[in-house]
Amino acid sequence: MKSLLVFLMLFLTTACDNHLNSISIKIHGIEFSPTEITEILKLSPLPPPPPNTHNAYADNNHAALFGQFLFFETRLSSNNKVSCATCHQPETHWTDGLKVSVGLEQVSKNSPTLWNTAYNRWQFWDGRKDSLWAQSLAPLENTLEMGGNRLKVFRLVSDDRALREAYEKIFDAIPKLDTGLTLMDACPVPNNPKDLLQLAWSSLSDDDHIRISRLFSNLGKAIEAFERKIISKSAPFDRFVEGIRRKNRNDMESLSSEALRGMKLFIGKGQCILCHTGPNFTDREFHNIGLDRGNFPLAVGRFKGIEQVKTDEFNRLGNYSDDRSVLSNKALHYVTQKPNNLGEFKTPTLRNIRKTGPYMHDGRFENLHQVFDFYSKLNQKPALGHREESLRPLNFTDKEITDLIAFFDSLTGAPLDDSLMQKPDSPGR
Amino acid sequence: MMRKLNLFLLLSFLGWSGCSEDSAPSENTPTVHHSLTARDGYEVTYKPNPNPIPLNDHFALEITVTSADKSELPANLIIEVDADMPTHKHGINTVPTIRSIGKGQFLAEGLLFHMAGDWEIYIDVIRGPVRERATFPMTLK
Repeated sequence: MKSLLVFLMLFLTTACDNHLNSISIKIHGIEFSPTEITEILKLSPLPPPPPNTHNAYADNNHAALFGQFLFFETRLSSNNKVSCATCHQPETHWTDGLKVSVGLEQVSKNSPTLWNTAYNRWQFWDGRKDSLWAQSLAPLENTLEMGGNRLKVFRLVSDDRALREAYEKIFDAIPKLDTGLTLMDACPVPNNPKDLLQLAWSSLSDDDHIRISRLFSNLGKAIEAFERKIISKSAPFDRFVEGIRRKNRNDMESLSSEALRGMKLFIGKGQCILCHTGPNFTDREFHNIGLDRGNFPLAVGRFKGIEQVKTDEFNRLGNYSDDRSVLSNKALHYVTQKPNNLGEFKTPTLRNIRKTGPYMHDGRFENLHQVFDFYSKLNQKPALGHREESLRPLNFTDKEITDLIAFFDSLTGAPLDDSLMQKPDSPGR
Repeated sequence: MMRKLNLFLLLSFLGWSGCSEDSAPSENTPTVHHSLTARDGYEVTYKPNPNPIPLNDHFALEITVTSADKSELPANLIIEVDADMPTHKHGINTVPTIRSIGKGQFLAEGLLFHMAGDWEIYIDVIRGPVRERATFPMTLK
């Protein structure tokens, strides 16, 4: 009965939206056609994050607190100085504000914001991970980022009383390893069989591999539970859309003329909405927008990302997933590497976009004006593959760019609760 | 309590019905699609599931193939399905799996259209070295 009620309420919302689709609305002297209203209504509100069956702890509050502690925990890195929060700083909207990030060393990619990552179908700019929990494990073992390894992490959580208690309260009791206490560092290094960490990993029993990787993956699941709380909504744009739905003139007029004109450009002349679609302003997929190589390493993008995610030991169809069914994991099951994927990168969310620069996968644009200037001219030669053919030089005027930026300003949401912005006193309660 | 709830549901439903009278269809219309293959050898029909095709979500096609001249359908036909956005010069990022679900009937699973706009669905009917293609243009809103 409850589900029938929800079903009917959804029908009511949709039906009333359909009713709005047939009328024009004039605000601050700017007229929106029924077609434009239809498109605008699709962009808000942001629903709750999609259910997550591959991480059984995704919505567990104890796991979220533990994950928040781990997110800020520098002991997971090799020099005890780097944490997830090094590149995803809460005060800079979960980025680092740098062109490309610096962990232990500089990497070649811009740190994407963590706002609304719970809605992503793929993680990383090239989508080489298909879940937040799998994504969060990669920097821990990346030699340029945190330089840790899963055996060291296993030892840390086993030996630290507070971490151990928090872990065992959420997950299973931490098992004993076959190996003695002399070995402290080990992890798989797939491309380098002679690496000392790989040699150490090879010396462990198969059962230890599973015990260590299980604990490691559980830490990722706790971090995901925390990151699912980093949701940006309640932006001025959302109030505007709600105003249309409720026919509330005050809310409709809450956006400036500049922002309204920018909105028309966004769904009209700019056709930005083709890729930045839906309430999170992204199609969750990948495109080649024709950026040149510039001074950056050649980036293959999605082409390699597909190969990596299909073979990732922590993917959603793998042994550490809590739901390995094809029905729940169609995206991974059916995705296939194709030549068109060369040079493609993920469409980022535009929520809070004014606060999350620099922009593009390599952070080459310092501000949004430079981004719109790029789309105005499209005068770069694609580094790889071919540019999305629907893109044409948009020849935005300076005034139009100002309007678009005003619209993007209206996508800045309410701040998170302070309690989520810092390391908790304890990993458990 | 249950009577009140039923009344509410009824009113909700009537409210929805009332609203919908004024509304114009704004989404992709559910239909069954027919086409002949390029050499007119086969008539191909597909029905999407869910119907209409959703934007940016996986869907399947229930495909029926018959001989255009109404003769017995040859055995050992193979079906392949793909889709493109011709003006964008790219297609889908998946390779659908095809399985036979009866004589001349196939189920293609794993398609996903990630962008709104003009798409073409290609259903190839393959018999030995001969491939015949049925092309279905459609616009996804």
